[in-house]
Amino acid sequence: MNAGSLARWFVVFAFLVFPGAAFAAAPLDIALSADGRNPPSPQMGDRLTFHSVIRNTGSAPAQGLVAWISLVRVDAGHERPVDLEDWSALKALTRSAVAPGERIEAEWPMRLIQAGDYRVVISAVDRGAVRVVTSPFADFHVRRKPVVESRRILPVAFGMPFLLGGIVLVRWARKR
Amino acid sequence: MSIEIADLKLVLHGRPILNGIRMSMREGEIYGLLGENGAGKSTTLSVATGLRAATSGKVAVLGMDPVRRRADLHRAIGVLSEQGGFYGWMTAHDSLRWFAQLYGIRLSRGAAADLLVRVGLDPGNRGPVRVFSHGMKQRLGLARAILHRPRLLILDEPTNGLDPRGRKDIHDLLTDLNRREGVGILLCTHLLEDVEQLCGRIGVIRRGETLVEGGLAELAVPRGGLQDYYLNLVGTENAS
Amino acid sequence: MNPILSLTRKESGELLSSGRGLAWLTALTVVLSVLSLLLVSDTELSLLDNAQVVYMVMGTIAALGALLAVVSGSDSLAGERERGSLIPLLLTPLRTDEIVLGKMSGQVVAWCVTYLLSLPYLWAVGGGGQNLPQAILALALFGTPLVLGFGFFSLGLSARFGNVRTALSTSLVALALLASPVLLGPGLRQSAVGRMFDAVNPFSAALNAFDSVVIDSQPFLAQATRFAVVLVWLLLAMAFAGRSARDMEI
Repeated sequence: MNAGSLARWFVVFAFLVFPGAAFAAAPLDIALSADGRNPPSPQMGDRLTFHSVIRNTGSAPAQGLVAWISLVRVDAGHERPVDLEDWSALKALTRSAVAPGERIEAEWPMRLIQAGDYRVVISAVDRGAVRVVTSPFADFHVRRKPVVESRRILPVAFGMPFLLGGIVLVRWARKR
Repeated sequence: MSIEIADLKLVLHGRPILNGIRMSMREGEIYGLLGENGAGKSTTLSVATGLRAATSGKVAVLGMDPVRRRADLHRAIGVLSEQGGFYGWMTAHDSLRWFAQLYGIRLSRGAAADLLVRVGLDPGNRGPVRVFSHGMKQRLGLARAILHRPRLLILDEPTNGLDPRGRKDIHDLLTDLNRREGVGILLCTHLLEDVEQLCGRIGVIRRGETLVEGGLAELAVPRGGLQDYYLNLVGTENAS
Repeated sequence: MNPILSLTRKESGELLSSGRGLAWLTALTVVLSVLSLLLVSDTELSLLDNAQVVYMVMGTIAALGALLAVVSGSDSLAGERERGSLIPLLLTPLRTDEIVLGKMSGQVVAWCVTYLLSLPYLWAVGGGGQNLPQAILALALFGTPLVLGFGFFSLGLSARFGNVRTALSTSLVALALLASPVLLGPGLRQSAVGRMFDAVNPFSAALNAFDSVVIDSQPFLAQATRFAVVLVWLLLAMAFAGRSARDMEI
């Protein structure tokens, strides 16, 4: 059995087992673009904004829509999903229903915490969906900005306790 | 009158502590307040110095209400409390000079040294008070009590824990203060020897109540001395 | 010298001269040093945005200042009582409110020393970045009433309980409760109860002000409500301390 006939069998099977799910899921379309005011070569500490438009292209309303933002680091040797905790306060949006043809526009602001190559994507599902719908990727690079300098910290971090300790010792020696 | 107390009653947390204290201490005399441990001596002193308000009765010290004119009263009296209450990290010098500041007095190093000599402490000692013996702390407490030249001294167990030499030194100092400077002294103690050597009049209290008050000569001498009189008095009361 | 100033000098002397006080200050610098060293040695932390790092250090300084204030406040009157030095103090011509004022001034000095010791750390982690002067000013403006409020509150408990251990444990519970937003994280703070708690909690007000001024570069004027919260906290704690000392039993 070749792949094409397997796929056809799968569709027939899905129709028989999940008739509601297969055909009630509203087709969603997601567009993603970077804000025109974003810095062209962002560095750590800068803020970026992305705009998404989620559109119900089907004829039935999409019930219980959830859309969320995902960020992955993609530079070689550092590939991993990023915990958005420090990056963005807005991580997801929800709508109880999206009417056919309706557009949901959203802004996704983020603060750049770490240097590297990143790929951002918006995903969405509705209650009847059988698969997740994703936007195209938006890629960006964050330049490194050394913010905590050891040149300043090390003398202070070692100097202050030693200074106080020295005062304690001098006072102790004087008392004796 | 230095101290005048009439029918003093004090109730704390619903419990009667003082049930009728009376006391008449004249200007410039040394008065002994006697009583066993827990009789109410220290509590009476706390009312007389304005640290506690009486529930009822009359209290006047140097003609002042101790609660209403507490600050004025404290400028006029010197108190040696049972607990030394010094800051262990200060030297004796620093301690006296610091307390003097609280009285608004600028005590020079020389004046502080004189005070220390007067109570029998070495003015050259630069050690912190925390290493002082009990006797040294008592002497320092006495120096603190007289540093602002009070008219009345209230001393709670001043010779407690002192050796015979130390007790004699304190007796001499108190006698000197009384005779040469006219300072009245209220001596609160359970050491009868102190009372016999120093006091002209005494009051005996027991269970928060004054049992008897009068001249030492008229009360104790006809009854075989203070010890016999006191034990007889307290014993009689215990038996009753 | 004014008697209240003498008392203040004694209180600050205890902090700056006694072994216990110096040990506290040394511990403070050690904690800030460890935090700073973590910032350079930990790759995640060292790459944090500059303002974020300054904010973290400010929060730590405020928390340590409050902890020191709570410990010294709990000891202030109850400790004197337990060591037998309260009665000689009460037997001086100083009024009770003057004694309390002297003790409070001692706490002000302690916070000033803490603040001054923390400045090199703020400079070390925030120098060359954004909003360092604002951070230093915000720590003074919001940290001072916050920390002193905790100190005065503990002083009141110290007078009320007359026992260092009880006063200290109660003060620490209060400190942990009010500092809980820092421990709870943003999730719980977004609930209705969390938002209400945040609105009246002086710790949250100070931290949110640090966040707004240092990270979000907002003007100080926009922090008026938060300043009012920490100021009310300070005044309430002051009134509580004064009232408790007046009612104090010897």
